[in-house]
Amino acid sequence: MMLRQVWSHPSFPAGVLAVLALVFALSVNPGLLSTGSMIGWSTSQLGLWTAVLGQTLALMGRGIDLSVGAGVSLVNVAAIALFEAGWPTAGVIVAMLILGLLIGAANGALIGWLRLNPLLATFATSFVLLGLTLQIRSAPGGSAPMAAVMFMNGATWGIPNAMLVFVLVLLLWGLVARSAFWLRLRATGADPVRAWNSGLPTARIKVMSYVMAGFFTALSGLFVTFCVGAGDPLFAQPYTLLTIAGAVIGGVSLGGGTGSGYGAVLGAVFVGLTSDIALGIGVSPFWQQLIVGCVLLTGLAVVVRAGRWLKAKSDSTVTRSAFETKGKAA
Amino acid sequence: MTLVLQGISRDFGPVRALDDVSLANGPGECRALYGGNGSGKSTMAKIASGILSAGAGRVLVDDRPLARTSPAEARALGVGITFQELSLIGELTTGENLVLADVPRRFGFLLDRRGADAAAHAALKRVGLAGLRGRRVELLQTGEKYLVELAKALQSHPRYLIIDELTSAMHASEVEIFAGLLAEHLAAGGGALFVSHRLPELRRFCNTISVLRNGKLVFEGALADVADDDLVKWAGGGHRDEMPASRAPLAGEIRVQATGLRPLPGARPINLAFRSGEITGIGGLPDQGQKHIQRLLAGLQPAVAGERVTLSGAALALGDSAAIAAQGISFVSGDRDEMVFARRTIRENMQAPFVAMKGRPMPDDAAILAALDRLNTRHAGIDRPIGGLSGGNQQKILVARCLLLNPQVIVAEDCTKGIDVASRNDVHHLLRELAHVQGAAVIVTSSDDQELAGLCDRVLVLDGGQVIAELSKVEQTLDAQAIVSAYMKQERAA
Repeated sequence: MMLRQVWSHPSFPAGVLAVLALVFALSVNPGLLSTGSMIGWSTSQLGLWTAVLGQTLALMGRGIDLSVGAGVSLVNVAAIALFEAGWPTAGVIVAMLILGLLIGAANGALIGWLRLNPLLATFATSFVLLGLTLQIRSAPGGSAPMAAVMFMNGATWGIPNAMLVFVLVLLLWGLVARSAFWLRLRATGADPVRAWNSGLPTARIKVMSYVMAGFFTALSGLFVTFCVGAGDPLFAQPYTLLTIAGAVIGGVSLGGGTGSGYGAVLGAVFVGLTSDIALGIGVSPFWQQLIVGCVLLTGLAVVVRAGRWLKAKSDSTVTRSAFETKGKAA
Repeated sequence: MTLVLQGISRDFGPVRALDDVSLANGPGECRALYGGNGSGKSTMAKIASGILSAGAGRVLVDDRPLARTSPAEARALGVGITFQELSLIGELTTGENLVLADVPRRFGFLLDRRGADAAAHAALKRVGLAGLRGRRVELLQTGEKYLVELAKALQSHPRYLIIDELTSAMHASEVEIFAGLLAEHLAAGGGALFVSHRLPELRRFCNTISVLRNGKLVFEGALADVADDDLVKWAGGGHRDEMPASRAPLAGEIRVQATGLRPLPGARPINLAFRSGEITGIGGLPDQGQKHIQRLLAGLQPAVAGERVTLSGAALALGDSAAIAAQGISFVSGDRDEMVFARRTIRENMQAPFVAMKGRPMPDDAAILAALDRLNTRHAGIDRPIGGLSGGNQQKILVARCLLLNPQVIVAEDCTKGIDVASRNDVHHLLRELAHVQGAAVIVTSSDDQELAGLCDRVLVLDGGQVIAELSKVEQTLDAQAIVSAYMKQERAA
């Protein structure tokens, strides 16, 4: 029973995939295990791992967030701008978290209350956010406070601080996943009409999911700021599609209602590793994109097919055991 | 202390669904809401529970107005509803579904797992399904889903319970559970509105009745004072389910030959044959393999190893629904969610199956209108979306298109679910014509044994995936009692 819950979990294939990718990456480049390499890897991925949690919130409510990349970039350059204006670190963090919540509220209001199509609405806001980003900073530059950057790029007892910070993020996610809101969001995403008929305030739930997604976008932007140490209007732009790919590989359904944040993170880990692997096996940079794409496609196909198969297998176990117990009872 | 619906009117496009209808429901009263297809009774139920807004008129719950179109508000005022099309979310577990509207919390925002489980356990225990609270709803059997729907409606302790066609997909033993809970609810001073087509059930559960016809209230009073024939007449339904004149069916050739069927996983394989010109019913307790057989013939389910089906001697491409449709097998389900393109026009819905039949010309408007007229379907033009029609009228359209298709085999899965008596007769006449005149092999299932006995020439009773009885009209072994005693005997023996 317990074992079935493990292998039939929607994140299980992504977990296997992430482990395989990690093992493969280590085999082509054993040096990755050194603290230095681990710091490099985790600081380059921390923003993506965090942003995928925001994407998961949007997807869970049968939405999508195409403004993740632009949102993270805006937070990144705005934070650097405030640092340059002499703001203290704590003030910048609070201001950026509020900015993230506002971005999320804007997306949420367009989708939940004005009932715009989430794909188009967030596609449009992504350009608004990109425009603002480029207004603030059109080229990479500026600097974050040295102490914070040093901390993010440091290690404690051999473990990169970026990874420790991400443990805190996962603990925060644990609260989300255990909340009453999460259950109601899953219901809304799985079947909005029936959820409404059941008495759920579906519009408000959708708005809230984007507000919370905005919070994770802000966290991601702050992590990028402190890991990179500078403002870059384009650094985080690929996050939009990387988070969608990561979440889907991690078992989050584009149709809403199924999946988990932990699975999405595993998916994002896998997506992030593909480029490391391509780098590691030392092929010409001109082939890299092709290889990354093929590995991603394979991962997606394996995960989706295996996930469906495992789910059907688990379901038939459940219904068959029900049939058998009924037979015995009679 | 009453639930009052006052002067309710409601339009859907050009169709007036409700016209100045009023009714009241007091403590201890179970009021039947009776009427034909499109009479507005489901619309009335939905307005009372805050799903739909009323065009005119108002809803008062114990003197407090239902101000907004909001199921949440109706629920807070004390109105609970069970939906004919269910309000359960398949991906969530039964327990999660039960606590959705009122999630037990810790610290204000965390889900209180233990509290939620206890609440779900208490609610499901009332319908005898407490053991299923960890199972996803999509894995439940149909009757179980309706019981869970009932438990969910009762979960908020409503003073007024609105029951929309809950029992039509339930088995007799499940109806008993419902009867007990309803009696308990009424004894505790609650009121109930009971929407159903089945007169015996109305008689059993209700003490008062409101009859609707084309959106107007045509009768209101005590149920004991009126005869069934009057009710049917007022509802506009012509006459009651008349038994067909027993006739010798065409001794048709075997059209469908199925060998090695395994209707349930692990069951012994069986062989079945279906003749042209004959209506064959597949009966028995719910989920004894009826669904597998029908879905297999319709190509909606992949074959299990060893299963083989031939149509007039040619092997069927099992698992390929498009190919099977092109070979001349039409499928009609009572589950409109999976049959109807709700936003598309009536015309497109009528034409949809022809897309799979390469080389067959699309039916023109004249043919479509002629087919619809045959079924007395009420509609405001075939250019309008089919989703705007009542459920019963949508169902009639699905059957009417078989007239145009003129298929070799019709597989009808509980296709009169939730249709009133008059439309049911229309559908029966059509199925008989398709079988007895056009020579199609018709294979039907129904949750109503009475219907199977009346409609079919032959009924196979399934139990555990095996045929335990074959009843035939010609041999005069077929009636509803025979069907029931066939599977009940089996149940007692086990």
